[in-house]
Amino acid sequence: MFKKILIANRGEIALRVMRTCREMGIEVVAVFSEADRTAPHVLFADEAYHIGSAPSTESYLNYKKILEVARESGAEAIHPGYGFLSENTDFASEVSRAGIVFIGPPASAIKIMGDKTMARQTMLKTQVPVVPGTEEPIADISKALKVAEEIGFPVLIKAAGGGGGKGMRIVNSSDEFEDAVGKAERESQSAFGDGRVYVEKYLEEPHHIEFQILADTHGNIIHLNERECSIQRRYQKVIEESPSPFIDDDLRSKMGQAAVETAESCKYIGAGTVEFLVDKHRNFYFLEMNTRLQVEHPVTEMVTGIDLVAEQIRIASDQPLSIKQSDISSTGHAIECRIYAEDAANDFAPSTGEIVMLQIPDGAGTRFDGAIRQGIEITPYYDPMLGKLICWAKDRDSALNRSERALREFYIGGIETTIQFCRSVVRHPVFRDGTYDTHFYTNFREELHADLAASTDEVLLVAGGSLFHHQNQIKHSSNSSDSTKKTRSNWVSAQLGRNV
Amino acid sequence: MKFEINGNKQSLEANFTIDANELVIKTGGNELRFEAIQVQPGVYSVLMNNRSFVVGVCPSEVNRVNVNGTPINLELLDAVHLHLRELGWDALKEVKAGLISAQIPGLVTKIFHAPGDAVKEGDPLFLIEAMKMENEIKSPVSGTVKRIGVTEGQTVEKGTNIIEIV
Repeated sequence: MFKKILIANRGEIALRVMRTCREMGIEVVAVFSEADRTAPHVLFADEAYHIGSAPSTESYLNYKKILEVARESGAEAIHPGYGFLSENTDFASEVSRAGIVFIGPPASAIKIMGDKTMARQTMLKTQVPVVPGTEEPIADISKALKVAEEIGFPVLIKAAGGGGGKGMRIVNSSDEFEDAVGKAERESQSAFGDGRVYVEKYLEEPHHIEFQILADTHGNIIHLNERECSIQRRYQKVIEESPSPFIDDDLRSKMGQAAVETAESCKYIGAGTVEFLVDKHRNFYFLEMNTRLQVEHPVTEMVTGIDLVAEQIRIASDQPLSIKQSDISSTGHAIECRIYAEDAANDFAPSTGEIVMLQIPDGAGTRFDGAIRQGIEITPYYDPMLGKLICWAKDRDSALNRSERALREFYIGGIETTIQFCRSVVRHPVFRDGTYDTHFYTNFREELHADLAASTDEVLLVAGGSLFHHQNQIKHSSNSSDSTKKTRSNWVSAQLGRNV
Repeated sequence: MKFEINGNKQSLEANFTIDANELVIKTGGNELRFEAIQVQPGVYSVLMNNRSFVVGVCPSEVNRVNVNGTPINLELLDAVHLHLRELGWDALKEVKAGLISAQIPGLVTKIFHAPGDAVKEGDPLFLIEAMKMENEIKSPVSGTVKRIGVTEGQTVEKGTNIIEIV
């Protein structure tokens, strides 16, 4: 087993990995940018090395510097976390070449799964279903119609030259087909200067469901059940849960098998995630494989009781998995809410500034994976995610109630966050029913934002009274030194903004 | 003192009186005893008729208040402001006079004054560029520039204090 590991990351995931390392008796080495000298991961670590200026291209993405630090500190392995260098094949190979262990899959697996067309081609050779469609843009309308009929209507006509819904048409029957292709081609031509379109199966009310897998160097591959990730906005996940309220044991076992087969197809080693789209008829299709630890991995940890980072480290040190497929069982229900420094009411615009007050929820079944504290400055340099609130309870209803309770308890003052947005989601009747799909946010956007802003007369009076009190207090103390102290923070943050 | 409280598309009238350390709020025939204790700068523990709330007053935006997590864009108008509004004045501008902060995040491209300069109401103070549009910010008051919190070419967040005029 390793004695010392370098964590090539920052924020909550760096801290998350370090916690397991320390529990395993492994020393941890942090790297930090100029903006992060006093960041939580630096304070936690046994050793910490400055690697460059604030922009991540100068620091957390500078792998030559990170490798130097690894050598200097004597770290035997590097954990990349997620983001930054975690799916960089060059980094993975360079680390191995330097005689250091990369805690992640082989570079070859990262390469196959990182390239979407290569991944699709690899998957077509397996039994795992991929979203059916024409491989090439439509050249011959009768051939394309034949493909559409084989796939089964409805189908989607999609632009080959661009995205964003332009040049896209849903076609419900064969007699609408030719007309729709023509329209889609003209629309694509005017939008992208490229009139090529192709056919893909239209998935009705799709769910985004992913499976956690673990593969060791001894040929053992297992899956750890699913995470339902259909609550998204701007293609980014906000809330995840396990088990999925949508799939049953039979489908779970089929999808789990497919996930294992996916891992085999690229000779995967380590922890990984296979993402699927599932339509309303419960047909599932391979979407992509993420060759790293996922943001939402704690959801799986809470229901299976398995520490995924510990398994990653064991696998990297050539030990066999500590569990077999038959050992995996799911107990209770877990829900994760991602807390971003964003203004939900203002189209999720990033929010920066000082955290002037912080109250993190605790109590039974409440886990917070974050890297924040009072007084810390949220800068525009890095991901706006502040942390993840994961609530576990014996069943889904209790987990929903617990999440709402914990979100109510959560207070971050000084910046805007998605705490309240998450609260609006977990108490929405469709989310509570578990009948949601990936269109949830688009479908209920207005209701969610109205709920976010809803206040009672009592709340309005409290707000008015507080503002009155606040202004009077400031007026009363305007001649004392206290007032300079109070207004200071704004000036200070303005000046900090200039320096960093 | 009579107030009109407007927030999140709701409006209420209430009467505030200060009684020792407490605020007494009278509204719709009810009398509520309101007590606020600051637990952190800008964060209050409020007991209103023994109902407990945590209230945050945003340091950079005077009219943004957060009650138990619900953000409210609040307007608190007293009798004077209500009267001014009837006369066609914008009450909120009065409240913010003196300390001019960025109302939008952007790039400060030009500052027209230095500390010590005398400015008249309506004088241009600085230019802020956001989404490729240049906005000229004029002084809401006459007075002397006390301090300037930014330099030209600096990117600022919404709410950053730019100029203080006394």
